[in-house]
Formats: sequence, C-alpha cells, structure tokens
Amino acid sequence: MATSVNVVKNRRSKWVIDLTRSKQERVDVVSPVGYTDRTLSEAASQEKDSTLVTKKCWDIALAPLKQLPMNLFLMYMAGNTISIFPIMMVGMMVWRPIQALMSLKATFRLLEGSPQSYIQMFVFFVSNLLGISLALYKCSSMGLLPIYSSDWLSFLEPQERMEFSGGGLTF
Amino acid sequence: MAASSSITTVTLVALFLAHFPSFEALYEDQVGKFDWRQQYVGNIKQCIIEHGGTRRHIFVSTDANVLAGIHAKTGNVAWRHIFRQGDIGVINALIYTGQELVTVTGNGFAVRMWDPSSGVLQWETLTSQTTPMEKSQTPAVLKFNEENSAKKPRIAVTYAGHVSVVNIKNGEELWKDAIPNSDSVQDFLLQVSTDEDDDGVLVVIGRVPGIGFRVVRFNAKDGSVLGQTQIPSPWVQEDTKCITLSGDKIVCADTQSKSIRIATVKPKQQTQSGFISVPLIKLQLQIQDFRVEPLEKFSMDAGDHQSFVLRLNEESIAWVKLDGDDIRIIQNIPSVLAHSFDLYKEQYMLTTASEDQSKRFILLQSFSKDGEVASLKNRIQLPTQSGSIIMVSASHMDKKDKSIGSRVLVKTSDEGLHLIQQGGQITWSREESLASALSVEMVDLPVSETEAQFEDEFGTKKGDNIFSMFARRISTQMSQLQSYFVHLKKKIESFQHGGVVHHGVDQLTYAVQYESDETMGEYLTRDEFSLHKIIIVATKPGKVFGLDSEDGAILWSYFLPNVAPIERGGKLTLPLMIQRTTAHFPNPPQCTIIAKSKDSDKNVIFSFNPINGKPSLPEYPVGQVLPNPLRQATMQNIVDLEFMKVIVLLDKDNKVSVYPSTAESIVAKNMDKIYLFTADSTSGALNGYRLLPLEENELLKGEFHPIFSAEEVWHVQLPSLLQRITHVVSKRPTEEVHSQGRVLGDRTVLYKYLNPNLVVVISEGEDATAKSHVTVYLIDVVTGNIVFQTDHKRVEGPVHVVHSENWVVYHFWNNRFRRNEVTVLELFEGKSQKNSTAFSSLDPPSAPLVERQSYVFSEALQAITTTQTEKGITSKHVLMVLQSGGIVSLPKRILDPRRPLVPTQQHKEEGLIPYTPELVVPQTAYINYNQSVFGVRSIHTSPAGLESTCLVLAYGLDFYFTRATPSNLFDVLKEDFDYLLIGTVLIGLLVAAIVTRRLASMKALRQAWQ
Repeated sequence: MATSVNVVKNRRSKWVIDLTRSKQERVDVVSPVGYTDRTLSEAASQEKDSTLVTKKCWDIALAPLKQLPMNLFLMYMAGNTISIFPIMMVGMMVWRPIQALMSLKATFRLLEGSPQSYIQMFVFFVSNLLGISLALYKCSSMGLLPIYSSDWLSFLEPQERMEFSGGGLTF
Repeated sequence: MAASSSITTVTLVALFLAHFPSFEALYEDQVGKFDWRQQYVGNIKQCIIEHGGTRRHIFVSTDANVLAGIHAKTGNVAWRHIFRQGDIGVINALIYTGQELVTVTGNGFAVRMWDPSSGVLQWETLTSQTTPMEKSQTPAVLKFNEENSAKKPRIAVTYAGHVSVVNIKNGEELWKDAIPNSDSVQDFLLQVSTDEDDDGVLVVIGRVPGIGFRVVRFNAKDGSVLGQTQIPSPWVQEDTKCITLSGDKIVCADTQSKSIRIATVKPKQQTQSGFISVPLIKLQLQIQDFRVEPLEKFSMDAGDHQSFVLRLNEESIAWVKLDGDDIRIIQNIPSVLAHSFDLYKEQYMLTTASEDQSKRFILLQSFSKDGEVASLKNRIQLPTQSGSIIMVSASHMDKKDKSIGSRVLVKTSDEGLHLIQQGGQITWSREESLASALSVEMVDLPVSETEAQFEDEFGTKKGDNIFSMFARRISTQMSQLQSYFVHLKKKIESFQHGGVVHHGVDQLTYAVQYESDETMGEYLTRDEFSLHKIIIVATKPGKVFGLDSEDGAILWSYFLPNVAPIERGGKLTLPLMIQRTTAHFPNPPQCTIIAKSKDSDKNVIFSFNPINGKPSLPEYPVGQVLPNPLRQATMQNIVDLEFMKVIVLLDKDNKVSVYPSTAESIVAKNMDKIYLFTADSTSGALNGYRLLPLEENELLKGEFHPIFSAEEVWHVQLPSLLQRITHVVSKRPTEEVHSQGRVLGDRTVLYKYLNPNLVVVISEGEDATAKSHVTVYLIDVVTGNIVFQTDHKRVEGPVHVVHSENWVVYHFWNNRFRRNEVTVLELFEGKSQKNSTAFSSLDPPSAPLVERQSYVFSEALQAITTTQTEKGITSKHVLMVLQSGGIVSLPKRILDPRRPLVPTQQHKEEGLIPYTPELVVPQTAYINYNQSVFGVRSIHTSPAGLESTCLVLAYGLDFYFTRATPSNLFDVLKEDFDYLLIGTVLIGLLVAAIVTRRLASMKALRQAWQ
C-alpha cells in the first residue's frame, strides 16, 4: 500500500496537470522581478501637451485625405481597361473609405480629446467621402456604374401587342 | 544566322496563329452527326428501266427538269442532273438505245447524250444558235437507224420550223433543214421509211387544225427535200391525237365521229390518198373519250408491228393492230389504270396495272401478243397512303432458269415510286412528292408518358387530397425509375452492338418509311434540349409527312387525294399552321392545312395530330370542305380555353368565320383588336379590314358559317401598271425579341422600331421606259400607313427577302452593274420610346428612322432566312442558300446598315465593322460543308430548347437538315470538356483538404503539448 502511495508521490513531484481546476480558481502567478502592471508613459511631463494631442488627432483626421494623391496616381496608372488588377484596386479604393465610415464611431472616440474635434471629425468624414467619390469616378470612367439607359436595357420587357393583324396575298 | 532566322520564323508562325480568328467549323468526326441530306428527283414524267446484265439503273426524267439514274436495287440516286428551271430546261424526250442515253431538252433546243452508268455528259448539240423563245411548241423527236443498221442510230428533232438529224454515236449534226410552210402548224409528227432502195426517207408531217396535214419528205441521209404534199382533213381539231406507225401510216383518233382515221403516206408519189375512217362501233368497244397512243415513245415500233394502243376511257384500253385498212384487236383489257410496253425477245409485252374492288390491292398483269402471261401476274398491297396508280413501266428479262421475269416501276398519284419485283415484293419506295414540299413546320415531341403523369400530379381535379397526390407521386417516380433502368439496359445493349441506328436504315439519299410502330412511341419522346423534333412537310400532291429530324426517316404520311395547292401571286402555297403545340398536355397537338379542293373552287381545311399523323377529327378523314371560297386565312396569336390558336377565315364575300368554331366567343371578345388585310398580286390593291358582328338575321347556324363581317378600313393602291406584287412578308408571329434597342458608342440606347403589324410588300416589274425595277414598301397593316418605301431602278428579281425584328434583308440582281446585291433596312424608333410597355399601331410612335445599306454579293440565291432561337438572346445570322449549292450563315452584324465609312472611336466602341461594298463569304460560313443542295424552294428555321441552337431545314429537290449555332454553343460544355481531369482535380482537392485539416489539427495538438 505504502509503496503505491510513494509512486504517486514520485510522479507528482515531476509535474502534474490538474484538469479539474476552473479558471476562477487560477492563482495569480507571481510577477517576475522588475515587472509592473502599470503602463509607463514615455515622459510624464508631456502628458499635458495638448498641441501634441491636436497634432496626433489631425494626423488621424487627415489620413484619408493623404491617401488621395496616391490613389489618383494609381488610378492614372491603372487605366480604364477592365481586368483583374484595376478592378481589385478600384474595389479597395471603394471599400477602404466605406470601412472607415463604418468605424466612424471608434475614430471619433479617438478624436474626442482634441479641442478641434468637431472640425477634425468633419474633415475625416469629408475626406472619406472624397475618397469614395474618387473611386466612383474611377468606376464610372471604367464604365462600371449603371448610369446610362443602356445599362437597364436588358431589363426592359418586350412591348405588349395591342392589335392582332394577319393576312397576305389573296387565295 | 540560320538559328536566328528559324527563331523569327517560329515567332512569326506563333504570332500568325495567335492573331488568326477562331473558327466555328466542323470536325471530321462530326460529319453527318447532326445533319442529313436527302436527294430527290421530282415528279416522274418518263422512266426507262435498264435491261439485265450488270446494268441496273432506272433512268427518269421529271417535272422538276431533272434527269437521274436510280439504282434499281436500292432506290438511291446514282447520278442526277438538274437542268435550268422553265422552258429552257424542260426534258421533252428521254431515249435509251442500250448504249446511249439521249435527252432532248428546251423544246428541242438541245440534244445531249449521257453515259448511262455514270451520268457523264458525252456530247451536246444545240439545234439552234439562238436561245429558245418564250413559248415554243413541243418538239417531235424520233430515233431511227440509217440504212436500217443498228450501227448508225440517228435522232431527228424539230425545233422552231427546222428539222435536225443528229448522229447519236458522236453528236454530230448530220443535216438541218427548214420545214417549208410551217407557220400555222400546231405540231409535227415524224416518220421514217427505210424499205426503199435509196437512203431512206424522213417524213415530217405538220398538223394544221381545221385544214389537214402538210407532209414534207426529206432524204434521211443528206436532208434534201424530196417533195411535199398535203392531206386535206378538215376534221382535225386542236386536240386531235395522232401517231405514226411503221409502214408509212398515220393514225388519228377522231373523237367527234368516234372513229379511227388511217392514212398512208406515200413516200414516192406526189398524189396523196386521204384518210380512211374506221368507226369504233364496228369493233364493239365501249368508248367515251378515247385517244391513240404509240407503243413506244420517240421511236417507230419495232419490225412491222403496226400495232398501237387505244385508250377507250379512263379505265380501259385495247391493244390493236392495223390489218390493211382495217383494225384488229389483239388484247382488250377492260379495267386498266396504267399500262406500258416493253420489248422482250423482239416481242412487245404489255403490262397493265389495275385496282381490285376494295382498292387495297393492285393487280399487275403482263400480256403478250398471244394472251396473258400467267406467271407474271402479281397482286400487291401498296403502302396505305399511296393514292391510285397513274403510271407503270415494266422491264422483262430472262431469269436464271430461263423463264420470264419482270420488274415493274409503279408511280402513284401521290408522286410515289414503287419498284415491284416478280412475286409481288416491293423492293423500295421513293416518296417523290417530298421534292415538291410547299410548307414545313417543326413540332416538339411530346414528353414521355411518365413525365406527363408527373405533370398531372398536382391534378386537374380539385377533389384530390394530399395522400392520394403523395401516392401518385411515389408511383410515378417508381415507374420513372423503372423506365430509366429499361432505357439504361437498352443503351448498354446498343453500345454492345455498336453504333445506334434508329430506324435500321443507313445513310440513304431519300426518306424511307419507319419499319415498325412498336418502339416508335417510346422513341418519340422529347429529349433534354428538344433538339429532336418532328418535321411536318405538306407537299404539292396533297401528301403530308412527318419526318424524323434525327435522320429524315418518314415517321408517318397521310395522303389527301382531294386537295390541290392554293395559288397566291403566281406561287403555289399550302398554308400549314401549328394550332396547338405539344406543350399543353393532355390536349393533343394539332396542325391544320388549308388547301383548295380539286373538284371545286372551294377550300378544304384539314386538321391532324402532328405526332402520329392521324386526323384530329376522325369523322373527316380527308378534311372538311368550306361552304364559301376563301380569300384569306390567318392564324391569330389568340388561344381559346383549350390552348388552341384561332384561325380566322375571310371568304370572298368579306364574311369571316372562325376555326375551331368553339373559339368564336374568344374572337368576339377580342373583335376590336383583330385586323385583317389582303393583297392582290395583279391589281396591286391592298385592303385592310376590321371585324364587325353580323346582324342577327344573317347569322346561320353550323360550322364554318360566318359570324362576323369584314369592313374595309383602309385601301392602298400600289402602281399596278406593268408590275405586280411578288412578296408580302410579315414577321414570324412566334419570334422572340430579347433586346429592345441597340447600345451606341456613347452608351445611350437607340430603340428598335418593333411594330408587330409591319409587313414588307415587294413589287417587281418594269417602268415606263421598259427598264426593270423593284419597289419595296413597309406597310403597317392595321392602319395602312406606308412606313417606308424605296425603289431600286434597273434591278430585277427574283427577290429573296427576310423580315425579322426591326430589319429587312433582301437580295436581287442589279441589271445596270450586272451583279447580285443585298440590301438591308433597319428601323429605329429613336433615342426614346414613346411607350415602353405596349405597341399600338393606332397610336404609333413618330415615323421611324430607317438606316439602309447595300452590298455587292458574289452569288445568286435560292432561298434566304434568319436563325431563330428560343428567347432571341443569341445573335442572329442570315442563312442564304446559294445557287451554287452552299448554305451560308452570315452574321447579322455584317449586314448592319450602321456600318460606317470612316469609323470613329464611338463606332469602334459600338463594335461596328467599317463598311466595305463587298460581302465576303468566308469558307467557314458554309454550314453544309460539301453537302451541296440544289433546287431548294425555301429554308425553314425553328428554335431548339437550347438557347444557342437553331434547327435548319432547307427543302425542295434536296433536303438538308442541320443545327446552326450563331453564337457557338455557349450554353453547353464543349464536347472535349475534360470531365476526368476536372473530376480528379476536384476530388483530389477535397481529399487534400480533409487530409491537411487532420494534419493541421494533429500539429496543433502536438504544439499544445510542447
């Protein structure tokens, strides 16, 4: 009997996984030496530098606008032919501003701290719209927008016949 | 250096290949897979059966100006020559000497000799340097031997007041001489007498009605005139039949005094004795309308027989012989429909055909001079839908056991040919009426019985509960499964036997009857894409056929002996309408033919089931005779309660009746929507009518009695002096137009002018300065508004025209530049539509823009049409049957009036090809590869169930069926689609996905352990 207990003890002394233990019961591991839970700011003196915050926020707000020249260049380079790469590019161009607009709230939260937050929000919003319109312009110049009557032609039902006629050469 | 040059060559070849347009052509193994051709010869006029030995041909000349050799064993056409249409190509005589086959064509204009076994032209002699006149008299033709020697065969032909003698051996014209005093001569008889010591005498006898005979004697060797006399005989009428016999005899049938008149032409003497009259009462013969016929056409009777045939009335003949100045009867045969003579061992054999009482069997008998040859008597049952016998031709030969044998070719009133071997076996039958097909329709096959049950599942009856419906569903699915297994078994069996031949018939050049009815029902079910259809053919003699579209075999035929085609504007027509298709199960499909009655000027209407050829109304097996003669009959796109389309009949008194009569109420409801029009070819008058209800007192009860009157609402008089309307072409009522407009280069829309009531009227004729011209009118037939008209000067027909969607294409001959031209008209409403949902001719959009262009075309046409597909999405092609035998499929975008002279960027955007005056036909546009078709009357197209595919049938003397795919087979996987590769790759990927997933999870687990 005793020997068997010993064996168990011996095994336990090597390593053990206790599957019965739940998450709540997890014992906090002792932090290693020199580790703190607090996040350290680079310099506490700069914390209150509002100009820096404004600058940072402007960065965020103007980021979509800065994309535009790049997009214009890409658009010019891609040409108006319809092939996989221009389509992918135009798709990205449309999708990115839409994505940005969809996560508008999160971005606005970032900008909340800034004194010029409303202007920044407006700039961010408008530049994204600009991005979309640029992409749409590209789409239209590639002929991808159904804005002409010819695009709806195949949905046109045949005209109903109001009169029935028949005849030909006499017998 | 060499290496670099070879590299450039390779690059060049690669570039060339890369830029070469992809071809839509046939692979070698596809030949005959989707297409078939049948060759016909037409209605037989004369036929000669080749005697014995290895030579086994039957030579025929036909109404369609065709000379052909038919294999006596199989009935296939061995060789065939088609002469020009009209008088210049008409075959007057066909003579077979044993070695040479000689024809006289163009009323004596040309004499030609053909090699009997191959049909190759050996020589040709024109009897005149000038081309034949419009109306020339039928020539007299006589074959004779100079100096009584078979080595010097000659042929004498009269033509335009001359007589020519031609050497049959080499075609040399031995002499030609004018016949003196030949002005008032109605026709000539030829006779030769060689019993003199000199060169022999050719006697030309001219028949002058009311006066008598003018006799001119020529030296048969050099053509010098030996003398001329007259035989005054005032009893000669315009239609008096006369023949010449050996022994210098002329025999005439004088129907007025009911006597035979005989005269002897004395070759030497100047004085001429008159005719001796032999009254037929003396012979104790029953006569009505009798005539005399020679034993052999175009040659004197052999030896000194002096016998001929007296046809006493329609049903009896007598074989008689001259006996001095009297007549002796050799054989008197009371009931004979047709007869023929054949020379067997220097003896004439008479073969007669008659019908028995029940009219189900025919009796073939042979008579020699001494009496009937009992061993040659045959009792035969002809196919049921054959009509009565109108011609026989027999050939007698020695059999292996030295007894006499015979081979008889029978022609029936449906223009069918049947070769009968001794013993009463029909070796083969040819349906030559197909060569005169007048109208064609294609009908979808019905769905199989189980599928029909399936459609029946949700029931026509309302009382069905859910359980019975479920039970029915299970049972139909079980039977479907069962039939699938049966089908699978058959497929495997046929695969084992190799090759699927549906009718037990190999490639034949003519349609043969389907052998058994048993498997027919199962075979005739719709396939997946309804590519397999029944072709309904209505022919001139009144026989209707159902042909299998897979191989052209005859599935059924139905003969209407009482009908004749309707003549409209100089063309024979037989209107054939599909009143109800197979789509309306359980109502049977129905087709209707409108024809003229043979006995009266009334019309006959006949309805039948297109799948089995049985009359829809069994109580009227040969159709119903309409009480009043018709002016016009059209099918309207209005259906009655049983999905039957309505035929509106307009009679000569402008009264309108409706067929079927059950649809009268439907028509009455739509009365104010229905407009009729008529066009008179010669007077150039077009009239439009609307329907008005008849007064109560005018109403008569019963079928076909008028229920409406037609009130004239408009009248258009086209110039009729020196010209006549040749074409009135409306659009096909079943046509589907997918796109309502055309997209221009700037992406705006040019809307099509899709007036369903628009009709193309073409009149051909001469103008005041006797120059030919053609005028084209586009007329709205509801209001009579001439939408557009154009005139082509110095242009002549025959015009071939096709009218579809918003365009018209027509082809004609330009006299001024001496070339064929094609013109296309295209109508557009403009950049906006007046009413995008409905088109009313009474409230029409403003006058359409008409774009037009003409092109030079390299060839003359036989027929033209356009492809037609199920939904009209597939681009259209124009199909042209060329005179040279090809069927060309030209894309409509080549025939596009918007083709610019100087293309701009916008034009390029629109995809327009720059205009070039010549229409170049690429070799790959010929859809019938080397299967040339001739004598084509028309070409018919019908949509298949596949949107990309259109079924095409060119018909006439030749039948050619194929599938046309204008936009390639875009809705079907290619034949060489690699199912194996794709399948393997898919399965491989699937397996790989499963395996890698497992591997990935194992790896993740392993990582978790670390």
